[in-house]
Order: sequence, then structure tokens, then C-alpha cells
Amino acid sequence: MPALSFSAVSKYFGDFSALKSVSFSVEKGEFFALLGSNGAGKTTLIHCLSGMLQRTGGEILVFGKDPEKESETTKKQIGVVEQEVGFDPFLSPLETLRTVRGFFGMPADEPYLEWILERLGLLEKRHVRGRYLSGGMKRRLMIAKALSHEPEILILDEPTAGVDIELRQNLWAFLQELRKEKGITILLTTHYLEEAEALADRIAIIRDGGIAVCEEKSVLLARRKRILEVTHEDGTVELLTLNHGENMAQKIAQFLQHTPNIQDIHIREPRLEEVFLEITSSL
Amino acid sequence: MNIIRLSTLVKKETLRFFKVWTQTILSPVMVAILYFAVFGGALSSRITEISGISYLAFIVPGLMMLQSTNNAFQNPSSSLTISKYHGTIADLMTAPLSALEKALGYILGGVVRGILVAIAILITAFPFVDHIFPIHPFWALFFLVLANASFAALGTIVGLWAKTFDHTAGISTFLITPMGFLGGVFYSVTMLPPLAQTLSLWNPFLYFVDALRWAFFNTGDIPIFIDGLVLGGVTLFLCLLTIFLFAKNWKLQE
Repeated sequence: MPALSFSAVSKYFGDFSALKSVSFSVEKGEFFALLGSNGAGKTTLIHCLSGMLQRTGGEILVFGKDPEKESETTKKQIGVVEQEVGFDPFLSPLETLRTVRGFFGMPADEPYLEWILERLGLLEKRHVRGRYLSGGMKRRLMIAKALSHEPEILILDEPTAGVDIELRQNLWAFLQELRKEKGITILLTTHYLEEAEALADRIAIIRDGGIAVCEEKSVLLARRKRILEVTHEDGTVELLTLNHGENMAQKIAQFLQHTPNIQDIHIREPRLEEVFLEITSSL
Repeated sequence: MNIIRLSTLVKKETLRFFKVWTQTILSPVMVAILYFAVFGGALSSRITEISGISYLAFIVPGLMMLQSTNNAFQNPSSSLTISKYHGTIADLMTAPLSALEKALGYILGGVVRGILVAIAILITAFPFVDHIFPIHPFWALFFLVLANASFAALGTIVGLWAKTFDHTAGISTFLITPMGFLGGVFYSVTMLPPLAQTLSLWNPFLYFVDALRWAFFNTGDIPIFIDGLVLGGVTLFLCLLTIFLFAKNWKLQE
């Protein structure tokens, strides 16, 4: 049974169709990335899952149960990191985690909450009011909040939007450790392409409210183009796109024949960004 | 109903106002001191007694009711409006709190704040008014709890509805404050001309103040059972409406 299953999910805001028959599933223990540009429908889909919005049609199942019919059970299984940083400025990080955990009907567990804060580098600030935390700390507090009730599925809605590279790398490492140690299922929405590339097992690309592609990351990358990268002696770099299925040897030979002064040459897989642009521009 | 979930929400709602106690508890006490000073100095020589009660003693239950219900209203209305601003409304939506737990959590948070304000005002009155204490302390507490519950429920509904602080401020300015001031806090309804008396009977706050005044002095303008019926009826209606609106996710799932 999949951890999450979306079948023909649709959502209308008036006449506007924000989600168009979205279907995919996320297996237990999987790291799944939902990739899409701003306004593609990622947050709407997450909100339909978390109970922030009511879907117009289709079916969503969390370990086989519908969140709209069995919300008490399914809500406990999900931890959501909202895209917008949201915390009570009157409460300290520890008070915030106690509160959120209590909202799930779970008794206080200070060692567990302090473990989360420690892992996210917030332990020293656990008694400081939320309003006095830095931007990066507030972001980390959002993840701590989502984990406070020990969910089986962690939903992250663009968790690293607007954060610096160091913090982003730290969060990536934390998510990978979390998955390894706790076996937690992760659904990540992002428009940072390298994030999905670095973390996910499978990737779905959402565009204009519909799923354009849903594949294993390696398959998605492999079936796309190869890039021939040539570095000249003057340091300039020239790229040659090698399309899937064409005679690559002949194309490379022709290209090199007319390209003098080569310092370095290598063929690489396309970055997800290039794949993403190719897929979305061809639709 | 899950006790941990409910008590967590009540605790959060009380912790919030305790952390800014100078605004939430001290401020209404300051206002009460000003009322006692101004009304005691300026009016007590002109209005010596109402129904055999000194004027300053007469206004104590009204001031307690006025300030406590105002605070009971503000607690959930500001909390919910702030939650929408700060995005913490998502915590409420993504957690498995039932409609009953949400409604009770916000209402009880408001009641705790209102009762603390009422007690603080009563203590503030001690230096100004001799021997001021309810003759029926249990009924005084009971009426205060009901009145604060009704205003906290109203504050919760307004908090759900409001998109900005202008909305909550508007309700406070154009509904809550006039209702309070025209509800017999500073005068007996029998002192009004006949038309104003009839209009005042449509103001539920009149019954709230009269019930508490009865608990203090064993006398009032309206029979106590009518006060009790209005107070109980209004509270029940507003509390049920709050639960219903949470069950419908009114203004939340938009």
C-alpha cells in the first residue's frame, strides 16, 4: 500500500482550474520530489492533502485512508512544513513544539523535542521568543514543528525557498539522515532543481495544474539528451547537445573536426534544470 | 474529546496573554482606576446613591463586566487574526483538533483572561469603595463565566471572519463598546426616559450587568431569572454557533 496516493485530484477556485486530474503515488520510505515553477499547483495539492483546502474531485489516500473521512488518523501520520514561515512570535521554539505536539493529542516528550531542536541547531535558542530568531532559524523551526508529533510522512513545501546555500546544504543533510534513521517517507515540493536531483528517488513535474512527467530520477535523466562540453584553450566553453537516438559518434566527430584548440572535453548527463526546461517547453 | 488537545489550545491561548500581561491585565486595571478616580471625584457628589447603593459601589459590577467581556472578546479575535497574519492558522488546520475542541479552546482562553481582569478590577476597587464584595459570590462567578464565554465565542466568530485587524477593530468600536456603555454600566435603566428604557431592553449586555449587580447587592432593575435566561440563552447560542462554524471550516478553507 502506498504511503500517499493521488487519483484524478482536481481543484477549482471559481472557474479557475488549479489542479487537473493529478495522479501519482509515493511509496513508504520513498523520497519523492514534486517539481514545478511558481503557480504550477504544488502548494494547492499539498493543501488538499493537509486539510487546508477541500479538493473539488478525485481521491487522496494516506496509507489507504481518505483524509477527509478519517482525518484524525491521517493527520497524525503527516507532518507539513508550510511554504510560508509561520510561528507564534510570543512562544519560544520549545513552547512552539510542545504546543504543536499537544494539538496532535500527544503527551509531552521533552527528550524527543530537544533532540529535534538539537539536530536542527536550535537547542541553544529553545527558550528565546520566536520573534528574535534569525531567518534561517525560523525556517528550521518550521521543520521542527512538522516533526514534533513524530509523523510517518513529512511533506515539505519549498522548505529552502530564500535560504542561503549553507543552510540549504545542512537541511538536505538533515533530511537524508532523517530518512535513513527513521525510515520516514518524504514528499518535497521545490522549484530548486538541484534539490530534487540531490535528494529524490522519483520526480514528478507539475505544470499548469497537471502532472507532465513522473519517473525515477535516473530514468528521467537517462532518457534525455547528453551534453558534450568542450573547453577551449582560452577558457571558453562550448556545448553540443546530443539528442537521444541519434548517431552520437558521427555528430561528435563532425563537431570536433571544426573545433580547434581544445583543452578539455567531456560528455555529461544533463542537469535536471536542462531536463525540466526541455520538458516544460515541449508541452 | 481529547483532553491533551483541548488543554494545549487553552494553555496556548492563556500563555499568549500572560506574556503581554501589561497590555492584557494591567491596561484594563488602569482604565478602571481612571473610572473610579474620575467618577468618584466628579459624579459621586451629584449622584450619591442608586437603589440605596453608593454610586461608586454601583458601577463596580458594571465595570467588571464591561472590561472582562471586552478582554474575553479580544483574546480569541486577536489570536485568530494574528494566526492568519503569521500563518500559524495552518497548525490548527493540519492538526486533528475537532470543532468542539477548537471552539472550547478559544472560548476558555477568553474566559480565563476575562475572569482575571474582573478579579483584578474588584481588587482595584477595594481602596475606592468600602466593603465591596458580592453577596452571592458563586452566582457572581457563574454569571461572569457565562458572560465571558458568550463574548469569547463572539470574539472567536469575529476572529474567524476577520481578514484584517480593521475588521476586528470595527466590530469592537461599533458593536462591543456601544453595547457595553449603553448596557447600564454607569446608570440604572430606570433613570432613562421610557423610549430609551424600551430600546435598552433589546441590549443583552443590560441583562449581563444586571445579573452581576444582583450577585453583588441582591437587587437589580430586572428580575434575576430573566437576566439568567437571557445570559444562558445568548451564551448557548453563540457557543453552538462557534462549534458549527469550526465544523464547517468557515472562512478557514478558502
